[in-house]
Amino acid sequence: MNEEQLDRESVERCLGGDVDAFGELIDRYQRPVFRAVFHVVGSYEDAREVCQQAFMKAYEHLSTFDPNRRFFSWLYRVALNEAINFIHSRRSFEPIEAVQVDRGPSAFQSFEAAERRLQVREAVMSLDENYREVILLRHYFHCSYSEAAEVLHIPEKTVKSRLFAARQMLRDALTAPAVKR
Amino acid sequence: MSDQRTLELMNLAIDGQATPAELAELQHLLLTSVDARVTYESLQALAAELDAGPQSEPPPAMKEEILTALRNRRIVPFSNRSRKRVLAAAAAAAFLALALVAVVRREGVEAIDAGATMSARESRGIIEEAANGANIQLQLGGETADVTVSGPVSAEVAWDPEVLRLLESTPRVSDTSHIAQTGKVPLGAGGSLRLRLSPIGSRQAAGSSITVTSEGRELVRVTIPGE
Repeated sequence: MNEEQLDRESVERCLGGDVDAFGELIDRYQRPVFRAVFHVVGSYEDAREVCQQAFMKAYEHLSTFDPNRRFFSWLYRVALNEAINFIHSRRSFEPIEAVQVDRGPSAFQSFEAAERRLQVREAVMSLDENYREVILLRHYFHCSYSEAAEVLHIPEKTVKSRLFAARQMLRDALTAPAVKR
Repeated sequence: MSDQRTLELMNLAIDGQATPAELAELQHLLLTSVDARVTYESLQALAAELDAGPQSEPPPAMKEEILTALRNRRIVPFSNRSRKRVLAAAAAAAFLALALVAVVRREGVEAIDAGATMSARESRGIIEEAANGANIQLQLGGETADVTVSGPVSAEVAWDPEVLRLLESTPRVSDTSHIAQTGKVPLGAGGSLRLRLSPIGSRQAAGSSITVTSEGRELVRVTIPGE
């Protein structure tokens, strides 16, 4: 049985009232979802909270999942929305946690690297929704073009054009402030 | 070669999606153009920065915490609920909301189990929903209805302007006479909006609805029933 079939079977059992079946889905997806959410929200504890909310929301809305689609694409959409909503509710970015700071050769370099990551994340979150989503799916959730297309329900061609344009925007945004400084 | 084609080749290569012919085309371009090399290197660096996310493992207890929470809150996927249970839940919700004079009735969106899984917030007559990427909160009180919407998508809050009027909003809306006429307030993507509505004079608000729509899809509809 492949992963898709396993997912479908777990979903069926969940809909039949078997909570433990949802544990199987958590086992399969908690790592990629957690890492992507952590990347978006920038804090381990916030990522934990957002992930919990995302999984619980996914469970609660499981009946809206279309079994003709792949489960991961539906779950990623839920997690992406939760993470973005969290960022919006927080309104401003908080300082990066120590856990994210590299163990570089010096404290200054670590600080610089952390600050740069924050800059990149802020630039990503400042993009228009259509562009931000493809960047998050491609680089944070590590989706392929076709997977991102499936999550967003748009053609693969559109994913590519948005992704390429978004990178261009980010490149411009991230080089401009550096010059001003 | 057009700039667009050049950028396409670079991006495809960065994503590991370029064909051998496309790679050769790009290689030739990079060998002949300094500008192209600079652009390609900066795009590569950007992609590497974007990819460099945390490699942390999820908290070991996360799965159990989620499952425990699901069991404790007795949340079940909506399709698994019997009609009887849903009706009982609705009755419980109606009883609690009557204490606040108004009753909240959900239509259209199947999500919150108003009875068995009712949280403290919902039991005070508040409905929260996250749909289409938007966070929506609707609260009916004795004299007012509060609507809060935020999220990455554009949305519109609408009501019957013959029955309800806008008391206040955050952020403050400018075109109040137009809003009083149409009973609609739009919200741009990425923004947030809080509205307070109240019945006009002594008009009967029962049967009147407040809706939140996004991209042509009705996300939430709350109808004010009779007392």
